[in-house]
Amino acid sequence: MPDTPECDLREKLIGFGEKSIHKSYFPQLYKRLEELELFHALLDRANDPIFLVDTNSDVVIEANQAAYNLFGLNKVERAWKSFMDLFGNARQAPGREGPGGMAEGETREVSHVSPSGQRVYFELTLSTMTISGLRYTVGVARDITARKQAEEALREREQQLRTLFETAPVGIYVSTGEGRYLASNPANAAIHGYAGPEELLGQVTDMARDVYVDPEQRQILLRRLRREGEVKNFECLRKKKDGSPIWVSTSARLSRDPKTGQEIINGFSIDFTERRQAEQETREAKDFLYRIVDSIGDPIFVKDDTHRHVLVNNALCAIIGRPREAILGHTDYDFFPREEVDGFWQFDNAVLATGAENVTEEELTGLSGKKHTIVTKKTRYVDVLGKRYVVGVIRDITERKQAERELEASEEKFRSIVESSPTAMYFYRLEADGRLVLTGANPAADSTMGFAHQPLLGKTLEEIFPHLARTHVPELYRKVARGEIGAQSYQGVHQDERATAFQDVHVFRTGPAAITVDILDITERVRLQEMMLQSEKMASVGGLAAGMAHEINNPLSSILQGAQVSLMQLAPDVPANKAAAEECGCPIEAVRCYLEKRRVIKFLEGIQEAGRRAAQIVSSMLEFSRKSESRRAMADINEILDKSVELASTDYDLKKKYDFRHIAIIREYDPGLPEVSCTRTEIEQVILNLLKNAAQAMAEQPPPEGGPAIVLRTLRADDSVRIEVSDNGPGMTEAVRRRIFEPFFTTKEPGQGTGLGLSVSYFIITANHGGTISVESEPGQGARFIIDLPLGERK
Amino acid sequence: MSGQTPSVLVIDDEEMIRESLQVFLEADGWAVAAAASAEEALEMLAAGTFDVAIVDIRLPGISGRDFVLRAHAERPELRFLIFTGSTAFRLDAELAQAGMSAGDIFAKPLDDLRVLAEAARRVVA
Repeated sequence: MPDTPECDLREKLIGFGEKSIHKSYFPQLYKRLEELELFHALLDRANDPIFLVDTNSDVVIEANQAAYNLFGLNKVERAWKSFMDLFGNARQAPGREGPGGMAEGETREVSHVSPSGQRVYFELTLSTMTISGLRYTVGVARDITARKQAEEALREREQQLRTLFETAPVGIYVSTGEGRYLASNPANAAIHGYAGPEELLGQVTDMARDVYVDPEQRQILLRRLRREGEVKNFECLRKKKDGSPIWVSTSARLSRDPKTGQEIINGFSIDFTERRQAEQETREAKDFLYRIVDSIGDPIFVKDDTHRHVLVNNALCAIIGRPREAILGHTDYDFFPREEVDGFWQFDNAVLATGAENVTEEELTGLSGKKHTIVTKKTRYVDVLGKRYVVGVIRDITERKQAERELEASEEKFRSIVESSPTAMYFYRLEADGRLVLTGANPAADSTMGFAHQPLLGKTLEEIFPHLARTHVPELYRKVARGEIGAQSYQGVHQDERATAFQDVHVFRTGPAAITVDILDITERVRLQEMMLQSEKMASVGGLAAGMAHEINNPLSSILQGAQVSLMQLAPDVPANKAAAEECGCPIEAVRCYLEKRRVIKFLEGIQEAGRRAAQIVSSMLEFSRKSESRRAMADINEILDKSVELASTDYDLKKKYDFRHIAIIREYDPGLPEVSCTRTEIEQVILNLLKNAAQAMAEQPPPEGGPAIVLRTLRADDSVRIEVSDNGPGMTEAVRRRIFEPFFTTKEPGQGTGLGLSVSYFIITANHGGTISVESEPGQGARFIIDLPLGERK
Repeated sequence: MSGQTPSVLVIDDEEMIRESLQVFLEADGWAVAAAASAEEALEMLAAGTFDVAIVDIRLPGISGRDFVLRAHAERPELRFLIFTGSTAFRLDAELAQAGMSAGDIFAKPLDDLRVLAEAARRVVA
């Protein structure tokens, strides 16, 4: 470029298309040039691309620096064309037609992709101007990319918010303090049962009235909002369009319209009816659980892993003696003695650690001080979060324990009664097949019956007591066992090879199909009763006999003496008799002869003999009342028995009727028999009498099988010596047995016995020796006389 | 003792017994006096002397036992035999004091009165 101004100008003018300009125009030209430069500078300073286009040719005449910067030096023309295309497309929409088809001052959005590939948005404003008759179009493209983007972003965000608002599952609303909806999303409308926000806004004009079950609730909400500005989760019962109730939780914020000062409430509504129902159901389920747990009589507790009670039932409250509120959250140490709790926790810990169930009997002292015996079953419960609990069920067995103890004591008492009972007790069970099986017996049973019951357990009544098989007894027992009849009592006779025992038998039911047979051996009592009866009878008889004897003795004495003296006075060799006879004029021989001829002598002798016999009887009778002790001495009973046998074998009277040697004498002596204080001759007399009676009885009958035999047995009883004289003779009837010791009672032929022998024996044993004598016999069963002589010194 | 004929006093209220005994003892060689009661016997005892008295126990009035004690007091030399129908009668200390022993007591009836006569001779000897 030339340095001179003229040169610059020229070039510049040429640049404008001038071919030649006169110098005189130069100042004017300079001025124009300045204006032009100013104009350019102005254009170039603009940030927005500016185009100057010849409207007719649509050729870009001028563009500013920003256009060149943006589109590139060579591409301005193309960019314009592109703009115009876009503009034209945009103009297809109805618009005002400007000159040349362009709307004057019309603005359109166009875009351009920059060389870097970025789309740039412009707001292209076209305007026309006419200079020197030429029409120019001026296009100003304002870069609106940033604004466009901001707008886009805003629109997007708004869209998002709208979508959120429209699709939010929670109700969103704006309302006035008076209770009119200003806005609502569909969810809020749906919650309240309206088809859409429009319906809600249209129909709800007073929220308190239209959507609250209790209008006061809205006032409460409002008051809180006014006080706190914001309320969260305000729960209340609302009503839907159709009136049905719903539970709605509202979170709202109160603000005021800055212009009007009106209260505006922005709020969220959540329909939690279902949750509420679920909660209700949960609560009910929990309540149900509690009711059940409470209705259980056994105390139940749940403790957490720090031993704090988290659940207890009424029964547990009762055993502790505190209300539920005072127990929950507390530990056992707050209620029970330390040493007890130490034990509880030990098991708690084991259960918590291992999960193994634990059942333990424990002592527990309630707050009232009452001691309980409990059985606690503990199990572990692990919740979904993995937290461990001890679940315990307590069974209070205090009463059962007490009852058990009492039962034990009672059982012990009754067992000891049974064990120590002097009566024999046999326990039988009635089997389905009707057998009565022995299940037990007491010690008295063994001693009374003389055999051990142990080996007989499980055997039947009939096997144990064969002689009962033929009797009605087993059936009687069965009836009692079946409960068909009540307890039965009867007197029984038990016989074995050794002895006859009298028994009071009492059979009673002790359970279903169980009976107890209680046997009291009354043999001694029966014998004693018999003896007492006998003794009384004999005492009176004895007294009678003694009194009689006395009265008889004097007349007997007269008879005997009279007879003796009469015979004496008739004796021919007595001088006094002779003299007296002579005096009467009759020789004594003649007197004698006459008396003999007339059998007077014989009668006198008969009187004497009869008197003697009577005297003998009376003398025997007097034994009843005689109590001589003078000749008592210690004696060996076995020896006395032998002596008596010897006397019997030499007894003339006995020999006449029965040869004693034909009787087998069987001696069963106790070799260790102690000596007894007695009058030897009297005991000999008694034994001799018994032997004679036995021999005579056996003589009257055909000899028994194996020949007649007499068994002499001695044995030591408690405090006495027993002598038994048994024969295998005909025995006797009960009637005879009862009277056998009575004086003058005899079964022998008249003249064969006085009926005094056994009476005398009786008095010798009872009155003189303080002993007892009795007899056991049945017809055909022989007879056994039993004599007990006391060992102690007689008083 | 009165000479060689021993004397006996029989005391029994029963006539048959008293008289038969008297007859028997006389035949046996005794001088016999008889009394039906103790009172009568005591009178006779005061009047005469006897070697031995055979006394019944059950007597009307004074009993045979009391007679023995009284007679012994008056006539210590007199001996006694008791002949009684009472079987319960036993020698007691007082009678023993009067010189009696158990063998001097006889129960009625006796088969043979000689037993009594021998006893009388024994106690008198």
